[in-house]
Amino acid sequence: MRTRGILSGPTPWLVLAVVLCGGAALAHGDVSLHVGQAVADLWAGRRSAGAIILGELRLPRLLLAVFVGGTLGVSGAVLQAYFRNPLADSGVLGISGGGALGAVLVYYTGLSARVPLAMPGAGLLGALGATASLLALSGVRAGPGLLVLAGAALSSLFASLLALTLNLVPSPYAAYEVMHWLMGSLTDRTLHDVAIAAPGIALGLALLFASGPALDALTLGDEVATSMGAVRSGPFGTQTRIVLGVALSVGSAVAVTGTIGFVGLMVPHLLRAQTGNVPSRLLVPSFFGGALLLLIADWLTRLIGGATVQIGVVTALVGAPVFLWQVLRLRRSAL
Amino acid sequence: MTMLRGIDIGVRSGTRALLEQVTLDVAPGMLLGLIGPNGAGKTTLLRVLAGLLAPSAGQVLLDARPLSSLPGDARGRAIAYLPQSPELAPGMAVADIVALGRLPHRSRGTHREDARAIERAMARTGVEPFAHRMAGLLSGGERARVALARALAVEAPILLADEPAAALDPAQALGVMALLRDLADAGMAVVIVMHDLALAPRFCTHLSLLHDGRLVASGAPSAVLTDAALHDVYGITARRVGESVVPWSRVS
Repeated sequence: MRTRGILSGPTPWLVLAVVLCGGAALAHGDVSLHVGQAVADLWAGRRSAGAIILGELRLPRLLLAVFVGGTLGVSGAVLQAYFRNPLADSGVLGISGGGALGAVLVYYTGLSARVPLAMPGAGLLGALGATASLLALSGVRAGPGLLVLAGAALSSLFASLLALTLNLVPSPYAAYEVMHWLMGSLTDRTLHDVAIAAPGIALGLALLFASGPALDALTLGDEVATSMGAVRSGPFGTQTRIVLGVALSVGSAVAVTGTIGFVGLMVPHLLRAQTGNVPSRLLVPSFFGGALLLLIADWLTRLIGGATVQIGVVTALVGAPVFLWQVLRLRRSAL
Repeated sequence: MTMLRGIDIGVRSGTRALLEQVTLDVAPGMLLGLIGPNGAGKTTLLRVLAGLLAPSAGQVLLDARPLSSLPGDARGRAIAYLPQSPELAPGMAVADIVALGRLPHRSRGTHREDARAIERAMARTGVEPFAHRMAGLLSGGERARVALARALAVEAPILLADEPAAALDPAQALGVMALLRDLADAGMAVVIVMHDLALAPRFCTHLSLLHDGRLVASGAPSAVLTDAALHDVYGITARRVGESVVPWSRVS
């Protein structure tokens, strides 16, 4: 049942689109590039102009778009299934905000310059703290209203703490740096940044993908899911796995690219109907859907604003109408 | 031979006793009806037997092993549980929902075994005609049969169901009761919570009558549903049509 979902669902098309968009992102830019030659140079260790542009600019950007977009998509799909709430997403629930606050604090204190893993570590801790606070505030089985309310409270708390940090930043230049970072960006990242984010993202995604059967079982309610042994309580139970998975993957992603909103909210929504509304079948498509969305958003940022428009701004511009469309759809179905 | 046994089960909520010293055996071939007025502790007892609620006194044994010592998957393969108001995701297709019953077998069963079990469960409950319809588009009766099909797809030796026929019209209720009896006759152990005194004595092989958290009578239906028990426990008099008991008037 699950394998059928992966082979016949939207996944093959999404993978194809990611490969095509990814290839285009490598080939096109301010300088047009012979990708094959540049890859060969990069592989052979020749420092040609093509190899440098590819290895230091376009490849990190592409890898981050794919893995950060994928992470946001999967974490959104998992959170929506676990809370059985279509509005759950790491941004709306304040998890990304917690990660951003952690990373900014480390940046602000100058720790990030001295300790290489301080930034992703702090992003991770911030995301973990935010998720734990959310669960403590609303309880695991909170209804949609309570959960979104608790998430909104946390988001605004983190936003105000971020604003306070900005106020206290000593120089306007540093404030601009932090602001720029907060809006979410894939530019000026190196393969080193990719390497920093990769372990957390990989481990987090592994935890999230492993929670598929539990998410399926939860569609039958807590009691039935527990009775089938698909959901376990306790310190190493299902909830811990999901909380850790989201915090690890989103925390690491946010620490490197800043907060990129709406991907986790939009992607599962757009793909859910194509996967028969079975939560476990939505996870893999959400990864590639998130990756595709960020690749497209990144292309749009270059198209409309060069270096000045941040990718987080673009996803929010696209995401807000999708959110509104969802509101209208819910309103129609309530009539 | 799978035997489920509850020994001296007590459940307290604060100072209130929800169940006190309840002992009962569930054996293959049994269709045991748990009956009693609202608040007697029927659902609580069923949840204890399913391992969903830890009793504050006594214990539940599955084949002489404490149920609480079993890993979740193993318990899930031994006992299928159907709650009173089953949740079904409105956007999921019926066949996908029934397939969820195979989750306890995910680490061992083959695809072919799973597919056969799903087919059998859908055939027995008659949900095949709408296998590809979304759950949100089903009637109450159809939903109840889909939830039952999901529980049957587990193919556990024990089925615990909380009012499986409550939301059904008379024809469908008769169908579900007959199906549960067939399953028991085929060697399954079935425990159901029910209120319908007309259906309970006709289809159940055994009845257990609960009152205020205590087991007041247990055994063959005719021995449990005596005039005295109906009077003392339910506060009613009844007329009898064959084995069926028809509540007739309240005792003032």
